[in-house]
This record gives sequence, structure tokens and C-alpha cells, in this order.
Amino acid sequence: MIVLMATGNTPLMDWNIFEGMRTLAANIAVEMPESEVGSSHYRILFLAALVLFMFTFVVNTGAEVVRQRLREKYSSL
Amino acid sequence: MNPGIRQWIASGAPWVWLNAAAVSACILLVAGLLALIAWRGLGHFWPAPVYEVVLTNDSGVNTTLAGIERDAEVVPAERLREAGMAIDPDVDEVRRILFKTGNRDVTGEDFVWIIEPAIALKERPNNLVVVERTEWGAFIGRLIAVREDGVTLAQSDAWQAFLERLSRADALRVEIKQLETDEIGSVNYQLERLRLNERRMEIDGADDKAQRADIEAERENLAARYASMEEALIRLNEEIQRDSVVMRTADGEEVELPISTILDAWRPNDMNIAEKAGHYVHKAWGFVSDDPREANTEGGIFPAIYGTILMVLLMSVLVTPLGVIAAVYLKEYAKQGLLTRTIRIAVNNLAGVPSIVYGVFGLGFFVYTLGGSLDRLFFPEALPSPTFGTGGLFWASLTLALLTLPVVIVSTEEGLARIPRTIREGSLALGATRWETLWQTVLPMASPAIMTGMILAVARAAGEVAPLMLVGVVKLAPSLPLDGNYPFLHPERKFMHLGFHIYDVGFQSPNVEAARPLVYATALLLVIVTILLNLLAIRIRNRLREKYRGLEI
Repeated sequence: MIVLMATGNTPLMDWNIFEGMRTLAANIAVEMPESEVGSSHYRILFLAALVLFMFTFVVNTGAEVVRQRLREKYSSL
Repeated sequence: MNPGIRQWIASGAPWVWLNAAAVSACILLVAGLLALIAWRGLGHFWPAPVYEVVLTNDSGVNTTLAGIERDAEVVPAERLREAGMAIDPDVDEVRRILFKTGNRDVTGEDFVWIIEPAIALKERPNNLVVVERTEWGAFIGRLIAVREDGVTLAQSDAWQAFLERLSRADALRVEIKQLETDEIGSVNYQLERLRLNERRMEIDGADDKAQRADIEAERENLAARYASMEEALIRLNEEIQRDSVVMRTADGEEVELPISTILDAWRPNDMNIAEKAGHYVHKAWGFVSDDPREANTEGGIFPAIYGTILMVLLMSVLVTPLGVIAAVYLKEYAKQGLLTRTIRIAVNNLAGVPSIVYGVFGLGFFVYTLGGSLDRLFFPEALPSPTFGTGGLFWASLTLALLTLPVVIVSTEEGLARIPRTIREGSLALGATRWETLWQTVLPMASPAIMTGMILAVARAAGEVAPLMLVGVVKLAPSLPLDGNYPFLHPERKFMHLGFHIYDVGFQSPNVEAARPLVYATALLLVIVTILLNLLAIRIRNRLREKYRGLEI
């Protein structure tokens, strides 16, 4: 919700950090209520959600593995 | 380097100070945020003075306008010159003031920027009236006359006559609203249920004559009630149309306003502090207890508060059993190994998934798949209009329950881990079965931890908006999800939510200037509602803790 309110939601982006941008999450939130059920647009948005999910999944699993390894390493202390 | 300073750095004191600075910065940020929201939001209800200003433009023509100062800023004179305004060449900066002038129906705009050098005269006449209307926003002007059935009343004190007629119209409006929403709404609801029953009979092919006659009789009964109510409504509407007032705007135009469209009127320049305080309380109460008007930019936010609280409560009821069962399985029954480790990783992963992904899942799975099947199986009479096959309170609560599930699982698991082995073994040694041990000793002792999980869940759920946009929150819901019509709780209805209300009013409103203070006030209320819900949960937890203190070692 923060990104939806604060990023400006411009679909065109450049490298200037003071310009507007659009994140995957905000894109889904903005477009999902308008998309027709079952259309390509709707399915693309689901794909976007899947990409977002995979991304966080990979990062989180990595962090979790590191955490468990560290815990094992220092648990003997 | 000075050896004293080197020693000071080596002692570690700078890091302590750095920590202290960081903590104070955090506290300042939170306090500043709350202060900003409170200041901007709470100030809105105070009856600000109305100014009448005479403006002289470049060619020496005077215009008069009346309004409330809303904002002021200093702008470079250069910018205004570029915009075509004539400003003294030796002035660098000009203060300009945002005036809320109201009268959108007369002038077409209700906010004006005025540059200070153009103001020739500024005063606060006592007889300026601010009128709050059901449409077109506020009206600011002077009261000229009060009319009854189009005839001007020959009364010396027009203001007093106006107030009397306003309170009469208020009473009538309350009556009309009750008739329209409660009674006629209830009849309509029952008629709709009858129609669905009949349709259901048709679908089932059970053509029972007696039942059909019953429905017909019931329908005639309702129709008769409806007719009598409609008559009463027409009579009330005629009665409320009786009076009108003639007002004059600051620039001399006379406008006739029917009193039926006037909600409130006050003369801010003529009020003393006590009257202002009374007005403030009245307005603030109206904000939390009224329905929104004019695309949510006016009126209150009661349905949004109601929807938020109801959804959070329903979410807590849904998430607690699921989370507790999962945690009990993981901690008490499952053999620790690869499987439980994978499940734990998955749970922690769930906690990190962006909330919008839950919203998409709720829409795709709960609303369209589950809801669609439920409709086909149990509500075929209402098709093609969906019952559960569209976003609603239940699906929103379920989606949020899923979102907050990891929090409850993790904290319950931690609570279970804190209970000493000896207690379980003692219980088993006394002959209790595994289930009895769990139900009678372990779970009660873990209940404060379960409540902690619920507190965290509530805190997260109350502020979540993005997934709700997809699964049932709307900007304006026609009816509350919990009302006096059988079966009272309507989990399939769409509802309003404070967080979404803020987004809608702040970002998608047709009149941003008018709505801005409401955004802050709503944000403040959202914070208050969240804190209250949390306090409630904390109270329950403390009570549980107190109860099981004796068991703790």
C-alpha cells in the first residue's frame, strides 16, 4: 500500500531516483480490480504475482538456510 | 589525536550515544507522525473564522469574497509574474493564502488562492453564515430572509427563525432516514428473500401449492406495508420541502436554498469559546457516527469503522484455531525432522510474502473458485448475480487470516516450547491421556502466548489494505454487514474499511482540497481503532496470565 501511494505509479521509468516508478505489487493492486476475469490481462497479473512470490520465496529461503546454519554453528557455544 | 578522546572512543561510550541517538530519532519520528496526523486531522472540526476580503486587481476593480483561511505559503514573486500577475518589481517573495470560499454551485470553485498584496480590506463581520449542505459542499454568505411555502416571513430575527426551522427539518430528516433505510430497507430485503425462495422452488421442481400460496400471501402483506410506508415517506418529503432561506454571497448574488438541503449552519465569527467547543464536539461526533456523503469527501465514516472492526474480529476468530492447531501439531505430535523443518521454513516464508500476493490468491481461489462453486451448489436461485462469488466480508477475513497465520503459529510454538517437560510428564504420570494433558494443562498455560500471537495478527491485519482491495472492500457499501435483518451477519456483503477509505479519499477523490483534512482525521481514527483492538487483546492476555500464574515455575 505504501508503494501504491508514494511511488507515483508511472509505467515509464528511468534511473533517476526522484522520478516516479511502479513496483510489481502496486501494478497488481492498481490493475487487478479493472481486469476482466479469465482474460490475458488477468492472467498476466497472476503471473506478476507469481514472479513476486517466487522472488520473495527465494530470498526468504536463502535467509532461512543461513539462519539455521548459523544457529547450528553457534549453538555449541 | 588527543589521548583523552582516544580513550573515550576506546571505552565504547560513543556507541552508546549513537544507540541513544538512534532510539530517540525513532521515537521522535513516531511522535512526529502522530502529532502531524492529529494536528491536521483534529483542527478540521474547529469552527475557523470567516473573513470577508476585498481584492483589488491590476486594473483597479474591486471584488469581494468571503471564506475560511485553509493554508498559506510564501512563493517567489518571479513565479507569479511568469503566470501573468502584476507584482511590484522590488518584491521578491509573496505570501499567498488558500481560501475556502464554498459556493461551488454559484462560482464553480470552492477554493481560491489569494496573493496578499491584492488584499485591500480584510474583516470578520459577525453576520457571515457557514452552511453545510447535502450537496455542492459548503455555502458561505449572509442570511437575508426565511421563507415558508415561498412566502417571506415578517420576522425581526431571521437567524432565530432559521435555526428553529432547521431543527424541525433535522427531526424530519431523521424520520425519513429511518423510514427509508431501516423500514423500507427491511421490507425490500424480505421481498428479495421471498423472490429467492420462489425461484428456489422452481429450480427444485417442487411445486407445492400451499407453500406458493403462503409466499403470495406474505408478499401481499409486505406490499401493503410498503405502500403505507411510501405514503408516509411522500408526506414527510413534502413537509420537509416547506421552508427555504434566501442567502446573499459576499459579492451580492442572492441564492435561495431549500432548508431540506441544509444540514447545519453556524456563524463562526459570532461564537464564543464555549460555543465553539460545543460545535467542535458535535462535528467530531458526527464524523465518527454519520454515513459519508458526496463521494466520501463530506460527512462521517461510521460504515468504515464498523467494517474494519468487524473484519478484524472475524479474522481473529478464523485465524486462532488454525494457527493453534498447526503449532500444536508441529510441537507436540510431529516427529522433528526434515518434514517439520520444511514446514517451518514454509511458515517463515509465508510471513515474508508481499500482502498483495495474498490478495491475488484470495481473489483467484477464494472468490472465484470457492465462491463460484458455493454459489452453484447452495445459491443457484440468485444466479447470475453472485452471492459468495464476489468479494465480501468473509473472503476478506479469510484472506487476512491466511496472511496473519504465520504470526500466530510462530508465537504459539514459542509458548508451547516454554512449558517445562515436567508438567507434561506429571500430567501423564497422573493417568491423563495425551489429549487430556494437551487440553487441560498445556494449552491453558500456552494461552497467553496464543493471545500474543493474536495481538500481533490484529496489529498487522488492521493496517492491511492492498489485499482487501481485491477481495471485498469498496469505497461505498450500501448496507452494513451486520444489521437487524435476519440472519443478521451477512458475510457475503461488501464492506468499507478505514485504510481503503484513506486511499480512496486521499488519492481518488474528485475534490482533493476539500477532502485533505478528512484523510488526516481518518488516519488518526485508524490508528486509534488499531490501538483499541490491541488494548482489548492485551487485556485478555493479562487476565489469562494472571489466571495461570500459579502454574508457572
